[in-house]
Amino acid sequence: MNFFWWSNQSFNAASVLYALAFLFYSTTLVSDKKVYDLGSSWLARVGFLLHTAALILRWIEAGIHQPPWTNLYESLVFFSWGVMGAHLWLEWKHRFKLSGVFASAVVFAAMGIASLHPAKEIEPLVPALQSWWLHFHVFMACIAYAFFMASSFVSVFYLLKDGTSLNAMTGVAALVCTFFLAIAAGKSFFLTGEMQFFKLVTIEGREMIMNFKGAGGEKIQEFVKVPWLKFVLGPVLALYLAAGALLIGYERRKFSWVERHRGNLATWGRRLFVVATVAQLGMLIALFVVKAQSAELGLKSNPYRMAAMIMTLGLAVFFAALFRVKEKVIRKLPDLGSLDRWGYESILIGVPFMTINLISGAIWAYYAWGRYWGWDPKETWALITWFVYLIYLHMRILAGWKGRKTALISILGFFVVVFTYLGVNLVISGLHSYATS
Amino acid sequence: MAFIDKIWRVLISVKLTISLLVGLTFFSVVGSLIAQQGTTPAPIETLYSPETLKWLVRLGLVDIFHSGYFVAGVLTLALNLIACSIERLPGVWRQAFHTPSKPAPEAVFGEWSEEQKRSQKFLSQKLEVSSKPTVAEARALLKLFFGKNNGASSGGRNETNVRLSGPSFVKESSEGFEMYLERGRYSRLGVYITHLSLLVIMGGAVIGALFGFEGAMQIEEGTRSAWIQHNKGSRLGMRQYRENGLPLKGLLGLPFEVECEQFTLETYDGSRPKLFKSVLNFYENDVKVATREIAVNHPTVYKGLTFYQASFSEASLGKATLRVFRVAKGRQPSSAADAPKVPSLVGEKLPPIDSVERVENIRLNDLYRVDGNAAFKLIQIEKDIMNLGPAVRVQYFRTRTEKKPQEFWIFKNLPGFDFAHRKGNDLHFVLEDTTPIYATGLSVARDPGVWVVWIGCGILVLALFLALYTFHSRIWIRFSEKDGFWVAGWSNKLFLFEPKYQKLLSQLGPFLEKELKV
Repeated sequence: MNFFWWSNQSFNAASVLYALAFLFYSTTLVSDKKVYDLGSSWLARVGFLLHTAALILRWIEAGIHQPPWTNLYESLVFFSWGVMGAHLWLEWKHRFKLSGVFASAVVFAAMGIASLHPAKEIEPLVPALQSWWLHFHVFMACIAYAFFMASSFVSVFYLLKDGTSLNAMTGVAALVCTFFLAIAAGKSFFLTGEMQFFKLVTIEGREMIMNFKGAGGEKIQEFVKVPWLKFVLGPVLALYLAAGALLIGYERRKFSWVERHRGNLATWGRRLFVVATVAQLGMLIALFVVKAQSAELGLKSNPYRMAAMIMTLGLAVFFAALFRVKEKVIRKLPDLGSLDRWGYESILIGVPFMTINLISGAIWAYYAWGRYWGWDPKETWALITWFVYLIYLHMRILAGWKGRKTALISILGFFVVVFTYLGVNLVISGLHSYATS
Repeated sequence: MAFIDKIWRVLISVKLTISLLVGLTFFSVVGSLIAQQGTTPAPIETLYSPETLKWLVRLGLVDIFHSGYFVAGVLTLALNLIACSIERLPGVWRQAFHTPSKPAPEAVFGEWSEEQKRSQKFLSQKLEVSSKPTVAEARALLKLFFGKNNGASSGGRNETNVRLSGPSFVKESSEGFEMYLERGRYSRLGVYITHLSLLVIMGGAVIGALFGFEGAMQIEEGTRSAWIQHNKGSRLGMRQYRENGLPLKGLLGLPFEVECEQFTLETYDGSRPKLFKSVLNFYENDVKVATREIAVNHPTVYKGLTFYQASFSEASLGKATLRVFRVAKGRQPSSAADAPKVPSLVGEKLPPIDSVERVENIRLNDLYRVDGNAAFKLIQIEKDIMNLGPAVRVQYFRTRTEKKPQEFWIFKNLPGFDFAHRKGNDLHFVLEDTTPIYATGLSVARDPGVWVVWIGCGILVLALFLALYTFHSRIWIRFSEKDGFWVAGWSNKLFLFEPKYQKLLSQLGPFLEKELKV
């Protein structure tokens, strides 16, 4: 039996089921029909089973000493497994499934990025990675991150339910879109006005990205340029920024000017937001048309940039749609107390795992490098994540914060977790092996 | 006094804790975004312009985590932890361990609104029972319920999974009584033990900073060294090693010598390293006292110093493995099977071979005797010569018969070359392979605080579970003939306690109802 082949097949099947689950979960936001209610959960559950099977098969293929979370591709697959697992467990426990919209979106995005990775083979481990402390460390990190994310998903619904201004939330979403799109656009966009994608070439029947390290450590890179992109991307960024400023500014009531023009601010903010969303959609469609005509450009060129462009669109569409169905969604949400408690509960589960994650990472570092703490960017960001949740706990337990304030910390935590998990590797390079692979 | 009081109040404030956490988080973010000294592979001088670097250094931003303000922040956090524990622990201790029972506030039984109760972490409910029992009956029933569910058979754990000490009856009178149950007192200590463990970890880090150092050694295979190039560390920690060594900056002397006996590199497919390990010998006064094998992730400790396999490099000269063929003189090998395997040679007839000797890992200029009257040494080892692959130059001595030694090349890829080239000689050489001589790269560290850190970490994990997942709870059940049954509960973690409390209620109600009917 070819375990590797079967593993990849069940992984693909799981991805498809998650995509369907996402559609079903989205529909449950507005529909009370039983088929969506049951369908979403069962699609996600079956997907999760296949996903688990894919991981087990890969582990069998690689051998007992190499669990399926030792390079970036595997880590993305494993991380999505954790996020889905945490969501399904909480869904089952609390009978609350709406946060599945976010869980399945994040998981599908992570699986999508993983599937675009050029190196999916099981690579034998270099000596530094042959350590059970390391494997344990990654496992713990995955669980901690999964529960932190689950908490942030619930927290978004908390904000909706407790009457937080949807305008303000959309404003924040617009700024988030601006930020991630700007990161996706990259340094070259802001310096030269061109967005650079790595060129795809086919060597010996395999699609490769023109981004290598030469024998002398020099970079060998070739880019594809899409000249018209800057004429759309620039305005889209500006529109999101403007929409964000207007929609957040609309809440600053103490300025008399704002008070006088509130209605206009909100309307125009929302209009700009919708225009930006439509423009981004158009941009992506056009980009896919270009992609279809050229073999040199594809999703694989820059998986993370492409994912950022698609995910921000997803976020924008979610909020743009929310304006229409807000009342319906709010009616479907459980009481505030429960939402608040579930958000807190997930963090309570996450914190000890995060602590064990830090400790086991330190033990591994001690055996591998001779020091338990070296302020490497990845270590530092793991500590930052831990601090954020310590602040959450202390605020909640000692300062009596709850509800909206803690929900906001939890949502902030989502971004910190994403940065610790991916941002450090993509933005800051460190000692960690994932940084370059 | 007022001033000290003020400082104390600041030290025990939650505001300080939060501010410090936020501040440390902020500086950590800055420190992760600006390349820090010693954590990047490239020296920071190459990453910033001299002008920028000057300012970064001046502001302490290239070594944030050891800068005055970061260390001060951590120390203040430690003070904050200590002060909070001193301030709050005695009260919690008294409450948790020296209070046999705590009466519920009267207001819980009816007066407070649901919100008021919850804000004080209380829950309460009147148990509606259809018939009215007498005081004695109620007492007996409750005793039966908790006796049944809380008896020795279930190890003090009733079906509601609420382990309770008691029940004990307090406030007994002729009109009624109050029953008191409690569990999870130890949970209250979780927070304090968690904080203590963080202090222990910080203590371990301080010990490491005061008495530890890190350094590196490069030892070529087959050689010894007693010198460590130190990267960082404290004066105090390095003092004793300074005394052993020369008064040179950056170099520490060990009171013993380390020899790299053998370095092994294994690869998966010729390029990706699979394993690298070194066999180290430790010499004291020229006497070998210990042999240890180390590999990546598997360090060894010798005399308080930990030796890590960090890296390796190829030293310039190599080693070679040869086969020496002795030509049979006068007699043929007894059978074909006995004939040693000789390399096939196109167009040349091989002389009959008497025996073959394999000589492994020959180093440059080491003399090898092959016969009573012959010896050879290698005077040149090349990985690749003129695109012909690995080759060695042999100097071959035959005592007495020849004045000048023969000198000739042998090539790995041309195994028959020597037979053709030096026809008529009684010894022929075949090069099996050359291997580079490696220098093993060791990290050497001394950190006497590391065990303190591990102990702190162990306590932290256990204490965190105690602090987050266990809870202290109290339950009061009150009965009076006038007012019937009332149940009240209190917990420091209401949301963990509430499901158990509800379960208890859902069992107690029907039980009373059922028993009273009978």
